[in-house]
Amino acid sequence: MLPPGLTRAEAELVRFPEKTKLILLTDRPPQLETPLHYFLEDMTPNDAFFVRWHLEGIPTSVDTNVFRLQIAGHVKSPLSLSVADLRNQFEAVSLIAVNQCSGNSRSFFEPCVPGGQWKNGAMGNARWTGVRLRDVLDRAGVKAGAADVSFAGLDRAPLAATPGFAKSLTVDHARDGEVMVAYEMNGTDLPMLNGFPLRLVVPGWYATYWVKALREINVLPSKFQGYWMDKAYRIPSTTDANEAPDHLATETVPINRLNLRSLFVRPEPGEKLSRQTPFEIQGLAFDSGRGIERVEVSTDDAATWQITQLDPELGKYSWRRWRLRWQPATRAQYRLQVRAFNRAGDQQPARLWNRSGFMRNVVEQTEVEVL
Amino acid sequence: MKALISSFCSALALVCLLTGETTVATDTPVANTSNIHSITLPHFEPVMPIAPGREEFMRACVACHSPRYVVMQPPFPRRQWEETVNKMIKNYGAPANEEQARAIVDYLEVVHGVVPMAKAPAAAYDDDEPDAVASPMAQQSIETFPMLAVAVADGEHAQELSRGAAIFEQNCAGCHGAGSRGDGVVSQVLLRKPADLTSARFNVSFLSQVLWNGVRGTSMPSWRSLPRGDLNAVAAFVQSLHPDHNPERATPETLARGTALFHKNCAPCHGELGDGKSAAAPTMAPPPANLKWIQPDFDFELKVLRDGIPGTAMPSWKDQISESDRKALAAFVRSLYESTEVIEGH
Repeated sequence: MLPPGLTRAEAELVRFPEKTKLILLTDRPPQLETPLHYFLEDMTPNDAFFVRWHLEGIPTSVDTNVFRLQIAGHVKSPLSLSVADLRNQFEAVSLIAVNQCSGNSRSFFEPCVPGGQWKNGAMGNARWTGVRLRDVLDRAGVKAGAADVSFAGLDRAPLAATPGFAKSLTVDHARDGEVMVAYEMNGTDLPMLNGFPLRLVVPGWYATYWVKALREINVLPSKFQGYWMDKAYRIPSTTDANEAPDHLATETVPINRLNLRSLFVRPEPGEKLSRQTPFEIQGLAFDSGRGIERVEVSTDDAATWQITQLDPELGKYSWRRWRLRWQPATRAQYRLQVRAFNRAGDQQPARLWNRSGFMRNVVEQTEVEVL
Repeated sequence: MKALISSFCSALALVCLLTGETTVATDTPVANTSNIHSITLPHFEPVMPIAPGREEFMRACVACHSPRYVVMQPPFPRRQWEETVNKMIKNYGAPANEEQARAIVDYLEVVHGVVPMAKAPAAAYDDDEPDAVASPMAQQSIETFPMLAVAVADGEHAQELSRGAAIFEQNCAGCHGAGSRGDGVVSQVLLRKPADLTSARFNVSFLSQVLWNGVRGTSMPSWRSLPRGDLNAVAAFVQSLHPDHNPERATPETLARGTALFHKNCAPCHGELGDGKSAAAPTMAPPPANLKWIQPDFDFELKVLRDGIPGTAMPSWKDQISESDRKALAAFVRSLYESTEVIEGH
């Protein structure tokens, strides 16, 4: 028997500053998960948006009058921009995009793997407003021969030996006109724990690239080298990033685009339904921007599949809600499954495992009891 | 008044420090108004069970992350814990040698292995400090405190001291011990041992702050419910425990060596100025010591550097820093102290 408090991840709700009650994974540095019911809304409220930091020295105080975003490196004229500069001197752009942790749903991996034991709540959908990274880089003037652009935030490593958090994109990706330096999330300032005052937005890519409290952009004439690209956040280079516990892939690559996935929001696990009233099964589907084409649900353990009704698209990087009315005829335990198809012809795998617990996107199942 | 000026100066220094950290070089003049957005983090650190290897675990791991990083995980076999501990040392610089790493793996296997707690007695769960984890409310209030007025006028002093001793006996001796050496009867069951009040000098700012707010992440509660006059008397008594014997004079070379060592090894937690204000500090419970407010005796400081402080993020440095360097570091740490005694009586 484990002593009290040491059992595995019983949902414990806690309140952090500027946040509503979220599921506590860790307190220092914080990892907080969004409870499932918030996904009944298309836009995840800022105060319910998940939180994940890597290093203990997270920013807790920022003076926007002295804060500057620095753009340096392989550029013609390095820049030092305040948040007001970004707001006043650049065209504002806005887009809705899913921000999903690489390790979302890790707790469902079998065999289990170490890391943040997230259920499905290490994700959220928000309207991000800011400036195009391309515009900022163009102002600085990227020199010929630039290869990568690296990004670092205000968070700091607790020990000199701990690698500071930094991520990189290729210069072409950084200049694609979609990657954004955001100063607003759902129309207001970002919460401190979600990256106030600035956050990199990399639509269609995993949240590890969405550097929080962004303070430094560095253009490099060569490939970026750093722990968080070269050693951490790597996936097997195999199909679906799949590997076997007793036969690990030999080649890995940095994690990158979101894969196709679909999830249940209702019913919640363990929810009991009545035969008397029709029920609307509801959930979400998204990918890296190819576009959700069809979502199917099975209520008979994959014997047959029904096409669900899709809500209108909110943008190619947003998630898309699907619904299916269901009135089961008999009292029983049902296993529901959901699978999505996108315009690129991708399908979700039946099974996925990798050592880091990344990119889980298997065909979801949920049990529901009908009374 | 001097105390007030002194804390005002520290506040200024802090602002300068923060400014330096959150801004980057700019040609434009820095605005003379501030627009600060800040939060105060709460703590939800679990109290870890007592089992062999616990001290090694607390020292090497909990400096950088809450033990919740362990208890959140599913129970893992020893092989997985070995891999994780190895990764934390190799990739993240967790301060542990081979022997300590083995002790940590032993500990993790016992408290969170696949046969959980099989090797530990069931009653070993350490529940001595159910309230030690500071609530968010307690955190909010820790920012400020009233400066106590510690008597120094001679006639008044003797009376204050005996009154302070009586109040101490009644309220503090249970933990800190009748001789104030941190060895009261309650200390046996405490995870984070009460301070030995004879082993260091504490300035008025420190005593005021601690008596008013308690120390988050420890069993030291807030005493603000006592009459202010009683707090003044207790503070005077505690100061009297440490006769002001003249410290050794360190050579400039020693201090320079100590400075370099401090900035490399200590500043990440204790701050560049040694005042306990670092990027990591707000997230730590108990917080790193403000060395401007506490002056450990030389021998005590050497012991701390050698052994660390159990139950806190302060690790042992004996495998990282040589004994002669630890002496230089101790001398430097002692040089940081700032007396904040109120001297108006003189």
